[in-house]
Amino acid sequence: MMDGSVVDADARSGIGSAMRRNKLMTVGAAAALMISVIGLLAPLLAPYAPDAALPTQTLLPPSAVHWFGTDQLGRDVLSRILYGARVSPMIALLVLFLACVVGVPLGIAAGYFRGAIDDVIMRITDVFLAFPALLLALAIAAVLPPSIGSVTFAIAITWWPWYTRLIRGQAASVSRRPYVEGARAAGVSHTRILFRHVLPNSLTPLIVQVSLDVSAVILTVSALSFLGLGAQDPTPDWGLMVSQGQQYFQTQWWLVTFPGIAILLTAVAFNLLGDGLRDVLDPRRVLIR
Amino acid sequence: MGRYLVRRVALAILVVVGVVVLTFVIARVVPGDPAVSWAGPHASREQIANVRHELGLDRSLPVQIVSYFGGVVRGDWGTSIHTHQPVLSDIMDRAPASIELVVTAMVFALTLAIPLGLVSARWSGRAPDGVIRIGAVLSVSMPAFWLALILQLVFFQRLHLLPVAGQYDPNLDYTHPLTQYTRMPAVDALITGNWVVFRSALSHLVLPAIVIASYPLGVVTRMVRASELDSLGEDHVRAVRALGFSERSVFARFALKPALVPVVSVIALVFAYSLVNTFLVESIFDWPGLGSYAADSISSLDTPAIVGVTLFIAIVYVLANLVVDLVQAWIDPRIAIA
Repeated sequence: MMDGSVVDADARSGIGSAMRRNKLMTVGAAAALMISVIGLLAPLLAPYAPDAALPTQTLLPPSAVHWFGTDQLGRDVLSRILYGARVSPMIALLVLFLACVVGVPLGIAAGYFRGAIDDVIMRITDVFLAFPALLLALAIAAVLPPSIGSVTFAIAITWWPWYTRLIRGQAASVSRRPYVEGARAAGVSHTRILFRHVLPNSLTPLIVQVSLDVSAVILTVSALSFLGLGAQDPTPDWGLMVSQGQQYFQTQWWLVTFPGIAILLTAVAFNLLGDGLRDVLDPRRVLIR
Repeated sequence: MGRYLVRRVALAILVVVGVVVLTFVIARVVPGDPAVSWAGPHASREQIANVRHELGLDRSLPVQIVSYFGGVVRGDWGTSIHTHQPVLSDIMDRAPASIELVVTAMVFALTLAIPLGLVSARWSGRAPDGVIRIGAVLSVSMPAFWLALILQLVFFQRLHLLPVAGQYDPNLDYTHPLTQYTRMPAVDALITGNWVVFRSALSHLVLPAIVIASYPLGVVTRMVRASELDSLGEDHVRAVRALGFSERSVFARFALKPALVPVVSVIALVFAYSLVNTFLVESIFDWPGLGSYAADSISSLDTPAIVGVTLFIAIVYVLANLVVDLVQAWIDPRIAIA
């Protein structure tokens, strides 16, 4: 669908050949991998400790010693950005994990059992989906004490209904297929049907959606941090660094510029990866939810 | 269509009720005591108890939720802690500035996104498509608050091309006083023929509008592209092509119309998303709208105001979705039957 040619659709499938065809996805996958490696190896890669403040070296411009300069407390900006790969991206993964843990079982229950359970669950998701995700996350995070935990909770609680809705559709269509009806007629238990047939058949669109959501969640995390609702100093969080650099920005441009580029590149990487995965695994899905 | 309308409106009402309940829950999970923050840091225990009684916080939860609900319906959305004004009147004061900004951004985004999406679809897989797709990914991945700061740095600080903040140059109030009708300076200046203020207002709109437009621009471009490519494969388009219509009219007339139907559905979404993005952007540009009101409320832990803005935007979003659904059902009657 994305490459616009009909031939692609019946050509070889599989991620390897897809990568050869879809260069953007390869770039995204490589960048996402690099960000993960940076997060894992931050202590080895960073030239300084992220919270090592040198009072004599505050607000130094980029140089051979401090590639990205130093901040208002004399901390090395590059080191903080490298360590930052452990903060927002990790929060995003945790948020998506929690959202799946809550959203998927509810979606399966709604789609498989239908009836009253379905109605109740779906009306509740309707209410949550009536808020733009960032708005609800903001409102919840704003009334909680500012911390990484609050931000994780606030975003996860706004994100699960998307997965409930997605999985419900899948589960409803799978559970009406002849082989599932056959299994039911043969007396196979609900639990077994759910785990053997419904869940596995609902996983592909879930994987695609989660991979597409990584960058949206990272942007939401950064936005909440920027507003001071998330990670607090001295945590080297990118959104927080932009926010703290704001007051020195007119003269010390590097404080805001580099952490922002880190957020942008991470979001781009996961967007490209998610788009590519969608094209390969789930070509019929619409672009926007 | 009649039955669809009734069902769709009933669902919207149900959702709004749910939204009110959910905002009430958010207001109640506050770990800090609203009475304490209301009374101020030096209040005595007695004063706090008085405030608690005044705000109705000493009543049972079901009673509170019913009275909260009644208040929302009557237009009593509580009193802001940091402005000491009724929240709803604060919101009404601030909304025009945000609407001016978001509508400008949306118009800008749509007039750019539709042609870009079509160009991308027309030359799909080739150079223009590649450039536009990368641009679209960049614009949906952009942290709005960061883009705002970078644009200020480049266009104000370095190039001195555009103003940094505010709605128009306040010095013009002495030389060219502006009569306020709508609280949207650009609109007021236009209808009163105040061209000096109008020019100033437009130049102040440019940077914040670009920032807000970034996300809708990327989303709509991708949507138009995908939707047009889908539509080109449809039977009716093949039929038109077989009848010998020019490639140009196949592309821009017969394929485009059905392709725009799904695009309409994202407009409500990106409009609401853009309203929320003003929370991040307005403070940076000193724009006196809902977004800077929300940001101030967040930093002063002003729960009634935070909840009020949340409720307001959620209701706007529910209504926008309702309108979009009805418009779509009107364009494509099959939707009403499904």
